[in-house]
Amino acid sequence: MSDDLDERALSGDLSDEEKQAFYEKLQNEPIYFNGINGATGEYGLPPMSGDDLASIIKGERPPENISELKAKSSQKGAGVSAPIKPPNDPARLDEAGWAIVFPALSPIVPAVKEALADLLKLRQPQAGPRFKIFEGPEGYRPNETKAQFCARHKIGDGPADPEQMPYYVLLVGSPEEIPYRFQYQLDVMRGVGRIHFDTLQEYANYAESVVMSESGRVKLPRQACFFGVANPDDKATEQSVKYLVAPLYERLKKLQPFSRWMGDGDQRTEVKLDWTLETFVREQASKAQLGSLLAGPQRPSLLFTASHGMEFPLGDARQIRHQGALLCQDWPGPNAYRGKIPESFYFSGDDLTQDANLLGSVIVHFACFGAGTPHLDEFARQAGKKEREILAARNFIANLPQRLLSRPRGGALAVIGHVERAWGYSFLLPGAGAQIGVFESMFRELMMGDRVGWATEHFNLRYADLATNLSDVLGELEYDPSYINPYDLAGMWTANNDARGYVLLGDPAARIPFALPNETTAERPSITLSVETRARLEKLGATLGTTQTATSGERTAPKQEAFSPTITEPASVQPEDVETLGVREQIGDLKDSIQKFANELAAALSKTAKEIATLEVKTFTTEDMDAVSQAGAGNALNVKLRALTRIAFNGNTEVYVPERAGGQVDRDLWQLHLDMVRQAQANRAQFLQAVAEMAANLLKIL
Amino acid sequence: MSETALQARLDPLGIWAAPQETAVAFGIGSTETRMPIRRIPLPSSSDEAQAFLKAKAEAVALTHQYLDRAAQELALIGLPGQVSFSATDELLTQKNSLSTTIGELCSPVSYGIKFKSDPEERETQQGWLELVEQVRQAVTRYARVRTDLGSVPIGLTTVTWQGDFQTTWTTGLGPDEMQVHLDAVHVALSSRIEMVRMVSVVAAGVANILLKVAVPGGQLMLLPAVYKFVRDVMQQLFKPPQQTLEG
Repeated sequence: MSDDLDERALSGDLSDEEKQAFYEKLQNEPIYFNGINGATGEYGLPPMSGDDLASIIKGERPPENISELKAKSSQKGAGVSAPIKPPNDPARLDEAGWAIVFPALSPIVPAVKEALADLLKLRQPQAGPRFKIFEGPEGYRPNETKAQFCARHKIGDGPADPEQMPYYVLLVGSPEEIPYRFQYQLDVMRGVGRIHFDTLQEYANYAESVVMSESGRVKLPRQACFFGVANPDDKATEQSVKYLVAPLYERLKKLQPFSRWMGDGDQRTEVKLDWTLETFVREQASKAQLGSLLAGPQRPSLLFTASHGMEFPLGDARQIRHQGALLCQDWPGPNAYRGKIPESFYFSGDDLTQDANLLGSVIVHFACFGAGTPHLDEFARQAGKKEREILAARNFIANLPQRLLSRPRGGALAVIGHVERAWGYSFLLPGAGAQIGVFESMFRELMMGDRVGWATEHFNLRYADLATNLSDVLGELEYDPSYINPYDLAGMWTANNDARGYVLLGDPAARIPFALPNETTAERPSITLSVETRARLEKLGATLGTTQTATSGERTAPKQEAFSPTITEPASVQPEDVETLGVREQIGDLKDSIQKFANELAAALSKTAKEIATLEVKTFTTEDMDAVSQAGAGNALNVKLRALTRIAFNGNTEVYVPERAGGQVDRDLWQLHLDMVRQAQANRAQFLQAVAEMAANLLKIL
Repeated sequence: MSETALQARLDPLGIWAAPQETAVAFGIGSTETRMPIRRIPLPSSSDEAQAFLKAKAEAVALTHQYLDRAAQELALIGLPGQVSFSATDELLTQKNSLSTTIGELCSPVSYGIKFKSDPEERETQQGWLELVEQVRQAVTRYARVRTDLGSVPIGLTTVTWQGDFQTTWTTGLGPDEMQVHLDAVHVALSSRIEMVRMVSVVAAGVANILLKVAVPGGQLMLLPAVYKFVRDVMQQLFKPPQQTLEG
């Protein structure tokens, strides 16, 4: 396809004939998805044609909360003031409210709450009567949908009524405890963020970072950086630089200065905010450069990165620590480099130094798995497959944003990123031009000082809009298969998934503490936990023990800290972790027995799968059963094969019927043989089913 | 229910007890003569033998049914603190006990201690390990089942892992005697499937609970507790119904 046609199609400047030609060509062009498999160096999801993707999408069902999405979508024309019930102002916490939601059943909630005490102390007076803690029976209950949660708390659908439930909601817990799906659904009508850390120390660090950022002592420079990787021969990153990073930078530069009204009533004054914008694209988008932007002297208040996110297969040792890590320009591309991706090509949480200070920053990643990974493949589900592929042993939050938020000297206030795969062409809809409006609006509002949960409303609105349109189109397709061309359908579906998958990690009420034009910027201070907080953590640490969790991979507690109480998590306790509790031997036995068994079952099932083409039933007679018992029917003397039935997988059956001396059929023996055949058929089916189920269940707990 | 009683339920013919390991490593693909023979001794009368086998077949069918029930109960359980089950529930005690155990396991303070100090728990854990080993050997080896009526050998059936059958009959037997071996093979193989299902139900129960609650130590700590629950549920369900006075 010529660049000219490509460019003009993106701007919607095509005649009908040209448009037809464009679609025909597009249908033969593969669609590229972001994400590189670190174990193989291949694309995480192979490119596929628009036709192929469209045929998959046609079986799509509308989302569970389609009515709310439609209501949200209808707000589009009314601007984004509608998600919250008027006249409440989303900038004011005493009107919008602030809530924190804990899992109802987690035994570590009291300790986490203690670690977050300073954040709660900050938000309570700000939100006043609209400050709410959902914990214990009030908290999120396992497997609860958003609708069930809201019904239990008498929270109505539609625009957020802060009297029922605050607009800003901070979820505290892993996506195993509070699923991503709940976050997506609650986020449609509210500003929702999430935090989940491996240690109490990290919770306390994050709380202190928010408190310090709102103390008035932090005056960050109004500086935003745009980091765009474009790996050689890689269409996905080439497109993200060309149609997302570059135009976003240009557009924001052009829109400056941003106006912000400060004060109330007669005291209201307009403040003009201009930001310094910088781009680091292509060769400048190296791992070293990203390290400098995150830990060096160039640290911006607002950072946007666009790149491939690393993904690893289930069970890969790097998956928990490095899934969603940012693949930088150091990767020479799919043609020049083959094989396992080394850590030197990508930036992970491990690359963040202990003394990095990101206090007050907000960071946005456009990358596959940049914010987290679901247990099951969303794409497989959407594809209508009966079984969803397991992406990871459990749902988890990416390690890099966890580390960005919890740095001991000062953490970022929020990281916005993608759960599951990020879809490159959600900002690139043919015929509609480059779709950067959502990104542009979010950045503009962040640069104007809006709360991050409010700034991300544009993603929610877009998701609602896309989901509503997609649902309508899929409905039409049931009656008219030619209602929409496959490439447009693929585009709508991809964009819909992409918009839904954006999540906010961090407190949704946070905002960038930048210096106003009449203020001078200052070096970021380092956070220091108060004596009371340290005492609380020490006490909690004594209660919870000091086991390091596996969720953080091979990370170890920072040595320079005097204490680092941590939280033990399910499914992460290894025998060596519990030695001091005296149960190592028992746990080791349990684990070894299951492991050994599962390995043998896997080998046996594999062998059976190869040899199960026929079912064979043989009937012998003998006068010396003891000899048969010792030697086997095939080896003993005086053994006669009297009947044989061999049933092939395709149904073909061979039989050898027993005869008596006179040549007549031995009916009694034949009847017994047939009974054995029936028994063999039933046994094989039931036994293999039972063993397969057992293997599957054992694998679930390994 | 003791471990012995459970064994009798799962293996009513008493043939699946794991044989001692010998110097010969039995495994998939080993020649059949290296496999241990599971010998079913029966009364010399074929009528008595058939009656005996009929009762055993009914016991296996009940085991199947009760394991289904245990699996259903496990799918609903797992929330510590939610112990307000119906007082008329015949499994109330077992459910409360498991719920309490989960609650204790969830508590950071009591983390794992239960398994260290409680002999009953150690016995339960040992019972679970033995069941796993028994099932492991039963499913990774060919099944060789021989039936003897009194001292008369009737038949020997070898079932491969792929499900192929080889049956050798002693010549000169009547149909009733041969039917005994047929029935015996049926009971033996059905009970083997129920043993597999027992492990499966326990593992599925653990996985289900872990989806609902965060248990420090996870599956490793829950396995014996859930095994005990299934075992106790079966004991309760196998109890004969209590006599009630009428009129």
